[in-house]
Formats: sequence, structure tokens, C-alpha cells
Amino acid sequence: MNKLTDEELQKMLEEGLNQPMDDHEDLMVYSQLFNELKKEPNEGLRMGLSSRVAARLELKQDLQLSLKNYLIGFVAVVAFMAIAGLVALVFTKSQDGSSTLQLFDRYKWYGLLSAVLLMAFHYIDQRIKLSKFKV
Amino acid sequence: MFDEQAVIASILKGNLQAFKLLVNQYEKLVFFVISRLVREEQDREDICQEVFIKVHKNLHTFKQESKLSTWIARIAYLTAINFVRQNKKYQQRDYPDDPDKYHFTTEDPEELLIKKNTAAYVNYLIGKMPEQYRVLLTLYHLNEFSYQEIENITGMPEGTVKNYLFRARKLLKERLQVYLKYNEQ
Repeated sequence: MNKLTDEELQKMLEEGLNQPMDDHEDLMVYSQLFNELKKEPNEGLRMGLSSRVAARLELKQDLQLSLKNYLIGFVAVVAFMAIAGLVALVFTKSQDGSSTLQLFDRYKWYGLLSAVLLMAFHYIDQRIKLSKFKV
Repeated sequence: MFDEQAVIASILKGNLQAFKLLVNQYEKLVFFVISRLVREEQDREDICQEVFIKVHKNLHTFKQESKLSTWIARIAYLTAINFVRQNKKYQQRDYPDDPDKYHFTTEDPEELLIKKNTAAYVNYLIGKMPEQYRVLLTLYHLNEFSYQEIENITGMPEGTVKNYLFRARKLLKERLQVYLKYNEQ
């Protein structure tokens, strides 16, 4: 029998045609190699990967939910400031409307900045929690 | 039995228990791909978690044109490759740019010690090969993907996949042949 090339031997084993040819050393070695390559490694992951991944996902979902809540809070603060300004304007117009508006105008950026900083603080806090999360 | 369609539909409705089933079903597949590229245990665990979080995030984009296992394996492969590229400790300096020019170096003391067990020896040899060879051997033999599926996972043309796989196995066979003769003595 003609000696088979490496290519032919590999193709033969890929197709599952492992005919016994005791005199064909290369085939025997390839056959053993293919068996070894199919074996699962002894090492593996710790038990409970699915629970760890689910816990991370829950934390991520909580973060998204809290971000949504912060955004609603921010909009509420801005809306409250706008309404408070309008109310102040309507009720104090006859008395000292101009000074109330000036006061509002002077502090509006502090109010907005405080709301933005509070949101940023919570956002960064949640991101750090998520990145350091290990189960 | 794992009903892929039902599990996907359930996950998309927000069922985390269904997602846990999916993780249990595919964690070996993901681990095999990652463990051939990443050596350290903690890194492997982190990447496995990252892969499944990506799977969860992008599951709505999965079109049933390919198998779910192929889609997940692609995410695992790309995540592990990106991780290796970004981490200096995993960067390969001793390998030729073209894997076809790779040859095993002479035996080192570690190799002599490990030669007592055939499976361990084969794994040791695979660990020394270029990453393309390592990944292809795993995807084909351990994960049992077809050439076409491996092309979809890695983005390598089918011809390249066949060529690399042939060469990797030939190199392993040559070393195994010497090993078997050595053990016969």
C-alpha cells in the first residue's frame, strides 16, 4: 500500500475513517493526536458562573434604574425652580417683583450646578461599584 | 432539554433565570475558547463574565441565521483577542508574524517534566503555539465547529483555517511521534 501523505491522513481522520492500519505509524500517531485534541482540559471555571453573571447584570440594571431616577430628579428640580420663579414673580410682582427675580437670577446657576454635581457623584459612585464588583 | 428559541424569547422578556440556563449551556464553550488565549485564572473568569454580559446586552440583535453557539463563540473569541492585544503580559514576542513559519524550539526542562502524561504533553505543546493555531485547534476539535463556522467566528478565510489547522496538527504529530518513541524505550 502506498504511503499516505499527512494531508490525506488528516482528511481521513476528519471524516472519521480510522481504519486499522497497524503498520502505518503516521496514522497511529495522528489517531492518538486527534483523540487527545478532543479531550476536555482538566481545568475549568469555578462553580456558579451563571449566578455571578446574573448578580452583575442585576447590579447593572439597578444602576440604569437609579440613573433614570436621578434624571427624573434633575428634571423635577429644574421644573420646581422654574415654577418657584414664576410663582414668586406672580405673587410679588405688585410688591417687589424685581428684587425677587434678581435673587432668583443670581442663584439659579448654583441650584443647577448642585443638581448636576449630585447626579454626577451618584453616577460615578455606581460605576465604581460595578467595575469593582466581584462575586 | 435546552430549548434555545424558548430560552432566547424568555431572556428578551427580562427573565434572568432563563439567562442563567443559557450561561450554564454555553460556559464550557466560552471557557475553552478563552483558556487557549488567556493563561491566568482570574483573567479567564473576568473575560467569561464579560462575554456573557455582552451576550445578554446584544441578544436582541441575534438573528437566527447562524447557530447561537457560533454567535457566542464569536463574541468570546473577539473579547479574548481584544484582551490579549491590550495586555502586555500576553503579547507574543517570540513568534513569527506568519504562523506558517513557526516551529517548535528545542526541548526545555519544563517539557521534559511534563512528558510523563500524553494529554498534558499535547496541551503543553499547544500552549507554546501561535494564538491562531491554539484557537483553531480548540474550535475544531474541542468545540466541534465546522470550517465554515470557524470562518464566521474568527473572520479567517476557510482556506487559511484549513492551512493553519493542517500545519498545527502536523507540528504536533511530529513532536508526538518523538515522544511516543521516547516512551517506548
